[in-house]
Amino acid sequence: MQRLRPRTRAALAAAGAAAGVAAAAALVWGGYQVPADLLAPTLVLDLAVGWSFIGVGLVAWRRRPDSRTGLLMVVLGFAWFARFAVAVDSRAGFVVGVLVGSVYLSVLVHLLATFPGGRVQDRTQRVLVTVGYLLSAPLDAVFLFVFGAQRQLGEGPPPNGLVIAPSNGEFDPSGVDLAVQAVVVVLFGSLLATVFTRWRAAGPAQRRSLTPGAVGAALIVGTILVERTAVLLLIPPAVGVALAWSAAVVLVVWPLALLLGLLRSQLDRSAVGPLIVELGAGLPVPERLRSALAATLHDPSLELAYWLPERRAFVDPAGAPVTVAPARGRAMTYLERDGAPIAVLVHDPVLAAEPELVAAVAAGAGLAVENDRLHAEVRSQLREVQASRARIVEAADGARRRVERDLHDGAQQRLVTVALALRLAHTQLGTATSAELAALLDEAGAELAGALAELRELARGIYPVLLTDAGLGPALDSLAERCPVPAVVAAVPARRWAEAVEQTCYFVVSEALANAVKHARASQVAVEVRETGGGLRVEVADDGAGGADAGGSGLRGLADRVATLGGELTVRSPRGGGTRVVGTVPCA
Amino acid sequence: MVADDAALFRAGISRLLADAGFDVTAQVGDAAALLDAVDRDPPDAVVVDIRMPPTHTTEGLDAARVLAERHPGTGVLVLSAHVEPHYAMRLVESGASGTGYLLKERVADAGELADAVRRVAAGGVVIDPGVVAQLVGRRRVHDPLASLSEREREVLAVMAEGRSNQAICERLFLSPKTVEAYVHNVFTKLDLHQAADTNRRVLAVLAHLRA
Repeated sequence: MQRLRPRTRAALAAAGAAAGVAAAAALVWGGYQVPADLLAPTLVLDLAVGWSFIGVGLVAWRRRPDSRTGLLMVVLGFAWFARFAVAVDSRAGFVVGVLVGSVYLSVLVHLLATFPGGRVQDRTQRVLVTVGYLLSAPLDAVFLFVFGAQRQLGEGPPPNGLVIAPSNGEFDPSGVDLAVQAVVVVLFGSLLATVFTRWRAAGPAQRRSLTPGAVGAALIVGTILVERTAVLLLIPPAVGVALAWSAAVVLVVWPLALLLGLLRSQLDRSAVGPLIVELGAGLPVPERLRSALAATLHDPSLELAYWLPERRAFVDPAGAPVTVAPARGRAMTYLERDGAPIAVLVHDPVLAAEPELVAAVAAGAGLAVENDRLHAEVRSQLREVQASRARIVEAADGARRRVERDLHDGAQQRLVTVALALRLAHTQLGTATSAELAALLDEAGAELAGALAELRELARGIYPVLLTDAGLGPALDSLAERCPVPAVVAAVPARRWAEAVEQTCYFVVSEALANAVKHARASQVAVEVRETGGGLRVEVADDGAGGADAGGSGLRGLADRVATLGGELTVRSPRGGGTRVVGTVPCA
Repeated sequence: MVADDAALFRAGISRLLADAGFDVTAQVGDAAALLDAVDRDPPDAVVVDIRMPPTHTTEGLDAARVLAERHPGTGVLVLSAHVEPHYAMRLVESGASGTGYLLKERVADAGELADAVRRVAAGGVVIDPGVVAQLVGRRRVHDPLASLSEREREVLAVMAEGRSNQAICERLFLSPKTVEAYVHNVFTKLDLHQAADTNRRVLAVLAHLRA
């Protein structure tokens, strides 16, 4: 809905005032005789109700341009005054008066059913609002033109209960009126239930602004219900009169209750100042900013998450990763700084209707939020570093265990066999033939050769000597030559880099090739090393099965290793689409 | 002349070579001492460990390069524990005749060591069969070696070890004519220019295998 322009607002206010004056004039000089003792209270109450709705409606319209409640209140006020047309003692006045006489009740139903948004949002609301409108002008038109309701002459009080007076006893409880009244009772009963349900479902922040209006609504509807059932149950007219008066009084008060709700959220704006003072008072600790924001916005369920641009993820104030996604019954407000998001507030949806308040709080807390975000970032990095350190230690221990096992099961075992063969040869020196001895020694020689080959491969695996001696290019060539899957190494720049950089790149390729052989069932692998602006970029791409798990221990270990140099490892491995491992390592 | 920083290994090799009929003129413990000794009295061949003090990396290779310049008549056999074609290539690419790259463990076979020393002394090239096996066995997407017959591949491997046609005949029990035909086939199929001498032939074959 559009924002109300000041000129339009002024025009509407003037029209409202004029409508009130016109209604009062119609009542006093319309031609009917209003009992003298009733004239003053009737005038005061009716003007109060109409002007209250129009005035407060205009204020609500300005405060909550996103809600239609303000508009509906203004319309209700005008409809309230329009029914005074019936007080003009003429045919036209009578027809108009009867037709619009109960429209204000329809608008009231509309207002209550859709409070506080003012828009029809579900089926229940649609049914309530539709029935509400059908019961007013259309039904009155039927009474007027089909049943031919007769205009009374201008001797008594104006018709249609414009002036609250004891019923003249012409009510026919067995007629159409009874059915209509029953529908009205059901309608208002459902309305009351709807309002109560909505209030119960609301969060604390929403309840705070909902309660005054809801209490007023309950009073009005309750009064109307009692009043109508009083007619149905033939409660003495005096009671009916009292109820009708109190309904009118509540109608005056209700817009004021709404105004109170509005003032409450306006009061909250003044809480932004203390918030800033409080936030400036000390070093941020996790949770402190969140609770301060929650208190200021009256939403204890408020959650705060910080955006970390490098990790492209949200973390909570303690630095733990969190998922921020739209959820039922929750709304999100993004806080930005220089056009970039820095944090998100996940809160009660009612706050979304108060963008100004949230914006004011966000602006007030901006510096603290940015500060706290940096803290969260540091905490998050610390967590990551701690986790990565633990993984690196674990990986080193694992590697040591593997070396021990390889030595124990391989070379060591073979050397024991050699020692045994030599010992055997020694004891048989005098007895065995030289051919037997030669066979024994040959066996020992073969075992030794095997042990040597295993030790050579083990040493290579622990550390490739070529990497230090000759650099990354020759070392990667050697790796590719040994690779059981055809591997092509694109020309590697022939210069040397820092040892740690070369080693890391080497192990990225080595691990990626091992994966391509072991898991990917690749038919070929391409290795590429390029110098980029600030570092070295290694890419290993195979044409295998894909679906590699970047969180698996091998790739995870590689990522940790690359991260220790401030680099980054990305793994793209769509199922059936090959695996591409890219490591970038910054270097001078 | 033998250069190795491990005294026991040095003595063992000297003993093996002496038993095989060589005259071991000097035993030294590092590259600098080796160069000095060779400058004083250039031998027919030098057996040098690739890894020696002070850095324990590739001192043997560096010494071999210096010797190739200063004493082209002295053959250099580098002993190494690494099956790395890269090192062997570096040795052969230095262009010197009489160079060899042999795995240390071959010394267990005295005949093999003596054969290698004789060949480098005579100006030949020796590439360890293990290194050649790694090059020939490499997996390739479009393997040029796939067009070779089994026998041709055997000839190629022995050729890559630095053997002459005569040696190939002896090793594979083939007639000189047959070997020549195989060698011709290999060069044609691999689209290689047939080099004039054995050493350049080794270089061409190794370079092709490494490409």
